[in-house]
Amino acid sequence: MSICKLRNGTVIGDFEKPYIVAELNTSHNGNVATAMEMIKKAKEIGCSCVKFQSWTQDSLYSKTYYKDNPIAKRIFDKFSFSEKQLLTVAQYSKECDIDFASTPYSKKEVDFLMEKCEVPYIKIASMDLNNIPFINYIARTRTPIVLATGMGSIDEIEKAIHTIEDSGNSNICLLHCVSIYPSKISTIRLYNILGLREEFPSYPIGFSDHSLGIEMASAATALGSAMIEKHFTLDSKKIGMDNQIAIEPEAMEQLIKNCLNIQVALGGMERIVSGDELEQRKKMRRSIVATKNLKTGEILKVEDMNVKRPGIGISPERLEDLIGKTLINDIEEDYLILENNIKEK
Amino acid sequence: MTNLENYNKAFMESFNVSEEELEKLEYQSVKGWDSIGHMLLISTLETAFGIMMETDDLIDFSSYKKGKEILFKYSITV
Repeated sequence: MSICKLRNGTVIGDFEKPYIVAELNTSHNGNVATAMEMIKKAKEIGCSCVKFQSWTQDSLYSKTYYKDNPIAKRIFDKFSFSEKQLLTVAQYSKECDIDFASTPYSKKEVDFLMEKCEVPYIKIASMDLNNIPFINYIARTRTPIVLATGMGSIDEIEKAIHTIEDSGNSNICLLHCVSIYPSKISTIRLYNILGLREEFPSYPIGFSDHSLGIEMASAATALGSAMIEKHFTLDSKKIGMDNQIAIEPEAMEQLIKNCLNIQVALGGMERIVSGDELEQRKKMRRSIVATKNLKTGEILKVEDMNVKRPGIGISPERLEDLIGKTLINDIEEDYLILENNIKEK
Repeated sequence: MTNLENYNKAFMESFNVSEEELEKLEYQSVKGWDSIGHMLLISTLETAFGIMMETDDLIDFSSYKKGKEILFKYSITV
């Protein structure tokens, strides 16, 4: 089975208990206290990990962009966390006993996350799928990599994976992802999870969910997703970057419950009849009964017998075998005909 | 143009809505008022009134009504 082992020892794999990542993005609006409240809540409702964004206004956009979007620069500056703030929330996550991750957008941010925040893995954002030099830099650290594949062709995904593999790193989890916020249902194409698994069988496949609502994560789990990443917020009505597609704690809790239940319910392909079900046969199956009062010495005919509950007597599949057998007791109408009522040869 | 006319024009042009819809307008209540539309609105308002709002005010600017309160902080009565 394909697995990815995180730096903290957690192992994730297809069809295993899904690793649930609450993507906090910038829904904390640059406020550490809000972020801490989100971390605490994420832990309470059962998330495996909280993930932040490590970008700053300098690492993500160029001056060309800001020249046309001056408001964006002010908002990005407000929403981004400094290294000190990231370290604070990383330490708080540790105190809360929940994994902490953050997506880096520069080599410096990679180093900081690895060395100071001790993240369990490095996420490579969809936007960097074709940023081969950056992927190579991350891969050479030998850290586990979660590679998002939004906007990417299969060739681009293959190239990114080869880049990681060529560095000697094969600890990878791929995320199927549609980089539209929110993603329309018709564009999600969850079967891509199966397609990626077929194309890259050495690596577990997860799902980064940008749809509205929680049902896509459940479906992805049913397809064996190793990881579910979902945007998380305390208030989806607040103004923020992609905050409107994030789900609030109540919905996230339900999502987790659904995913975990589905993973358990998937079970295995081997046909197993449980002890409880075997016991249930006695109540729910039928046994052979007399259709009329039968006397000792009578020879059973087909019209003498019917089948009814409970299933504690002779099984219906033996009805033909009983034809021609002799009774050694009287049997009243509608009572079970038992083995000890029949004369042995 | 009065302040109110300038204010209304910014919303109507940013989100392609009618004057009748303005009073109930909130962030995400119409298709155009998403995070990108929000930046367009703020940019239009700042240009129209010759101000630069504090970042916290950009984030709190969540409805047509709330916006009037925020502009009042910059001595603009709408």
